[in-house]
Amino acid sequence: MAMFEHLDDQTEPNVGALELARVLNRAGTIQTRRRWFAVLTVSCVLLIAAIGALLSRPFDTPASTLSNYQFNLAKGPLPLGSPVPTTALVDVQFANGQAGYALALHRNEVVLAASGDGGSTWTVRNTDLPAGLGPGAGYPGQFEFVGSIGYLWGASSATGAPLWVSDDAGASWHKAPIGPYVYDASAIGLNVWALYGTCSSSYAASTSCSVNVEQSVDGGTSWSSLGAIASGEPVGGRSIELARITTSRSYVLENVTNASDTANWMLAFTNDGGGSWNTRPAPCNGAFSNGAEVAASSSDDLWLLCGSQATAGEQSKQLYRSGDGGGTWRLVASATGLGTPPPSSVPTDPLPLSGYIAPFTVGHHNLAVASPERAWLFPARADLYETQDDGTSWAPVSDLSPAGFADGGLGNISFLNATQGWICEYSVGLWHTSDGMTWHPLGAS
Amino acid sequence: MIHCESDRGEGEVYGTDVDLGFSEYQLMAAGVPRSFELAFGDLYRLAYRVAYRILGDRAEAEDIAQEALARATLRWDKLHDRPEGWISRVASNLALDRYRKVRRRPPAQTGPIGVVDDQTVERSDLVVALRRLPRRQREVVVLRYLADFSEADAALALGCSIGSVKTHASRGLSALRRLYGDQETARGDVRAS
Repeated sequence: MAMFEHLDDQTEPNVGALELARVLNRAGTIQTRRRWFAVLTVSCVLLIAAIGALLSRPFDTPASTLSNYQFNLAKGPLPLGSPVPTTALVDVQFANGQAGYALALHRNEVVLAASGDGGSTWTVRNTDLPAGLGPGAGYPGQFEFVGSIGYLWGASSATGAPLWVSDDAGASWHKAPIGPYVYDASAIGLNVWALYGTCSSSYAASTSCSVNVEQSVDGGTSWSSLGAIASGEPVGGRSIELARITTSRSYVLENVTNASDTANWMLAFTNDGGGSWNTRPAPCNGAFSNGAEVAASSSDDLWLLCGSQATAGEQSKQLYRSGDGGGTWRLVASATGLGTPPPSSVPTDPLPLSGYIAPFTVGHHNLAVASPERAWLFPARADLYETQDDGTSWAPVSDLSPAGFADGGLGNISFLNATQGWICEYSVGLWHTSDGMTWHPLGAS
Repeated sequence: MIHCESDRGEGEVYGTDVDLGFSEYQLMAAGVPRSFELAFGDLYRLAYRVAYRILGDRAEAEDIAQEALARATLRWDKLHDRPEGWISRVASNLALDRYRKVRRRPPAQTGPIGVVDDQTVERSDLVVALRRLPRRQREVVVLRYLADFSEADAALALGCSIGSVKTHASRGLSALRRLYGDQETARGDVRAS
């Protein structure tokens, strides 16, 4: 025992209040250090966890965290449920205030995205859509959803451009037994109409093709013919628009070519559910016969937009209104240039000259009418314009003017009712209004 | 309470011999129980002794003792029954670590040039030998021969039997002697060369 006693200090150390005070002071220091260390450790753990979560979840985060660039860097096929940035959306439709569907571009392919929160976040629903929808095909197609039943058309192939139907909210699609070329479709509940013919959208004008109407009353499962629209003249496949007001009253705007190859627009309408059709001339003539769109706020209140040849981001336009279902038309506004003199009956150029309307833009979603007084016009390569005085005057929507919607990307404007609407443009983003007045961005911009 | 037979007279018990004059209020404000203040003197001297036997430096040993006691205050609720063993081990570990750091610095010249202090050499051998011991043997050696615990107190502090303490102490001593011998041999070889 005491084998190291010889190593002891021969002088006893002082042990008193001073030493105790030093010890207590040091204990306090240690405790403070430990607390800081604990705080630092927790902070580091949280930071590492956050970084890890960011690095490990390119596709399990809300869409708002992804940019369009990041989205398109991801290799396909994308896993279902992968977030889609709103900047990748090119066409948006909502079945109700919450459930929305969109075509989105991913690496030059079109995927179907879905949202369950009014458009704030989007996820991939289907990456195996029918071929021919991508920008490589020149046309991303059109679609519509009523509840979980979806209709998709515009995907061209060598054998036709069929109508595709989905019964499971876009997860899978099957071909409707109509065609071979479906030009437009519209659903009101389970009642679906589709315009189809035997000519593709790029057929020669001299080819005689008629437009036929098929109807399904069970959400696209079975179809029956409603006959041909009595135009009696050749029509251009892409320049056909179906506007359904009710299940019985519908309009078809079609581009017809007469014997001298002069294009004119006709408006066919039915008031008995397609049992009979009447055709009236539409006032899109002469220099304004290169494009047209029709929209309605009620059975008889029609808005008709006519356009000239589009070039360099501009297109002369005329806006007509009809209060009797197309029986008579009234010119209410115009935008003239490019060799089209201003008409004397309307104020000079209240419509924007910039921007294109159909068929120089995707689909027929450039004009949205909320009421006989209010409407929005979103020409491709232009801002969103709004009128609150029957279309007499138009002004850019100030909320959206700085957002970059005039960049010229694919996009559309869609309204669920008079106040709730969405506008999207590829690489710009998705915006929403719930009062028909103010617009707010959704997700990433 | 543990009685250290070799160092203390009969009836002398840790925690009963020093009152440093701190009021209850002062101690409460510092978060220190009264029992710690009462045991402070003996525990401080114990930690100082262990550290000094390893380091041979008064200032360093005081610093080690303060550090060990400061740590003890933070876990006093767990230690106050038998704090001596824990403090001895903490003091020895701190001293071994401190020795390594001190050795990295150029040694202070305290004597005539060329004269090597025997205790300095012995402490160096002791540190090397302790570091090479298995943990349990090192703990027993520290308690028995640096803190001068009895076998019974060492067993109580380590939570093992006296027989186990004897075994570890015997093996530890043998290893120390062997390591000491190796160190002596190594020094001799160096000197011979």
